[in-house]
Amino acid sequence: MRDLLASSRSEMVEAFLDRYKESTMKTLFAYLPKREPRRYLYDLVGSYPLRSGKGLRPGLCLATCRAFGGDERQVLRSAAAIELFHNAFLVHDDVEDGSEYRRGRPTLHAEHGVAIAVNVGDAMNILSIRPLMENLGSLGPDLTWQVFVEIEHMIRQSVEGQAMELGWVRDNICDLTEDDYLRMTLKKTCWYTSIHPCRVGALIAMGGSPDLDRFNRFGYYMGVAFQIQDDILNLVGDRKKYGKEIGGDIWEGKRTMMLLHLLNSSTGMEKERLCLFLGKPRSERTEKEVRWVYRLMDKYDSIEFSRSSGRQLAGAAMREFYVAYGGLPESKDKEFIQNIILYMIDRDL
Amino acid sequence: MKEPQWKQSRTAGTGKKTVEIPTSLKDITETTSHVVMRAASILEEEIAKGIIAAKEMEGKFVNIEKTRARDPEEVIQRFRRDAHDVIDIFIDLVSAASTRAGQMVQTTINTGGGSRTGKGETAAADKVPTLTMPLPVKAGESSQVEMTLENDSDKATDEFGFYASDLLSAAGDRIAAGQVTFKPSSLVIGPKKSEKVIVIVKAPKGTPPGGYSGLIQATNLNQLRAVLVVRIQ
Repeated sequence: MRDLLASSRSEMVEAFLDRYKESTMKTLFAYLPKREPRRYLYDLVGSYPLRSGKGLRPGLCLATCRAFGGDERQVLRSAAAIELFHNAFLVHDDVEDGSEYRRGRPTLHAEHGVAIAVNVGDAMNILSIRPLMENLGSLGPDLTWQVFVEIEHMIRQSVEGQAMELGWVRDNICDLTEDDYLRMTLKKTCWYTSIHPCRVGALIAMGGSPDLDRFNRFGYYMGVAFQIQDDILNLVGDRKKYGKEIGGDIWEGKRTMMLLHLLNSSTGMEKERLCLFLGKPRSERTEKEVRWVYRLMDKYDSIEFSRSSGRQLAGAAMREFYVAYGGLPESKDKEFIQNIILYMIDRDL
Repeated sequence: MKEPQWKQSRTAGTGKKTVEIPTSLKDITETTSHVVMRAASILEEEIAKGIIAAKEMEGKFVNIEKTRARDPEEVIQRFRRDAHDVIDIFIDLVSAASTRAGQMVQTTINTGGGSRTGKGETAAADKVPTLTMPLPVKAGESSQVEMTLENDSDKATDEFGFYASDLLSAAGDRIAAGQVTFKPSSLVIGPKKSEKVIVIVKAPKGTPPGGYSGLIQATNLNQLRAVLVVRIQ
């Protein structure tokens, strides 16, 4: 019965995500220049957005706008900009992490080289600005500016969070706590994955609402639950479904909740060996060492601990859903947003 | 460029409404786990940083007050339409007036009740009031500031207490939240009444000098929040 419910919930969420992704992509692609240099730039800008991402961010943005009584057409440019920023982050993130696969295909830098990939990522960031500028005609100057303010905060938080994580890896910081992980994830993931998409959707629907903080906790808890599930799938998922190399986070030394739990649970000798492993360049890490890290995570139940934390955060997100959306009239969009919380922790891709 | 306004929305008035959570979801929504509490605390710290940055930059580009002042009734009506169970979305309920008298700073905070401050009367940044310790504090010593809380509604508040985030300096040093205490620690404010609360900050020995700030908030009264600022000598 529970499986049946989860399956019907997944179908509903995926149908909505597909629909919103389609309309967002239509808008996004309308903003991509159709001119030279195509081969080394503009043909590649659409590469990541065309791959099978979930479209979570525009989905939340559009659904929130509609749930608050707004017109979907008014928010599409902002949703497209958020999606384009997201894809720019991914291109650069893949370079920074040295990742090999993204959404089931080789990463952009693996296919076209680091220099081309970095420039394509830059172009995606720049191209995101135009749809936000063109909000002016339909939203007016005040609201257009407020959307810019939201987006500026979103991007800045993301790069700060990314810097934290990159710094931990570069300097092989091993003395990290759950708090460090939660703060880094808030900054790197949650503001732009869930908090700001909801804020921008409601802002545009309400024509300038100052009451946007109702989404902060909701988006944060949901965003961390999403990130934890993503990190779990990276370790135990099916590569065909997940689209990235399984165990890639261990190869990269990424400070996930599982790794931090392991670092804080292991014995002195184990921790010392772990830190030595994490201090090596990726190219010098071996299969055998990665398998040892997996075994250690099994020994200390690090994956189960993280899964449980993810579920607790999803539960808290559910509570906050009623704070942020509970008073609105019932609608399919409201139902979609509620379902997406459980969908994200149940998903296998 | 200015930061967004990180004001906590109020989800229910003084006559607080609760929304029923479906029974099927209760198993994962009823736990308040360690990880959730830590996440909540970290979010508040980050929001406090945003508020402080916003207060420094407020008013330079957009007249937020004008935007806020636009048709508040229309916004509220929009959600009341066809809705059987509506969460109040009163906005801008926190107003502040600071007066300086000698070494004592007293700050008045409105606990809410539905009325808005006069349009254009207050700079938008003042919507989240600032409580500033009147004098610099030496490490190892404590200081206090008094605030007055007003309930201008026709209903008594629920009983509420206070909590603070860690106070952070620009250099990244922190004074733990546990060093901020309140007297009384909890209270109820009757309709159209006001109460005084003393906020005490203890700076532990060895606290590096500098300006520290964080958020103080009330439990059960989401719209009540203020930025607490203290200078350590």
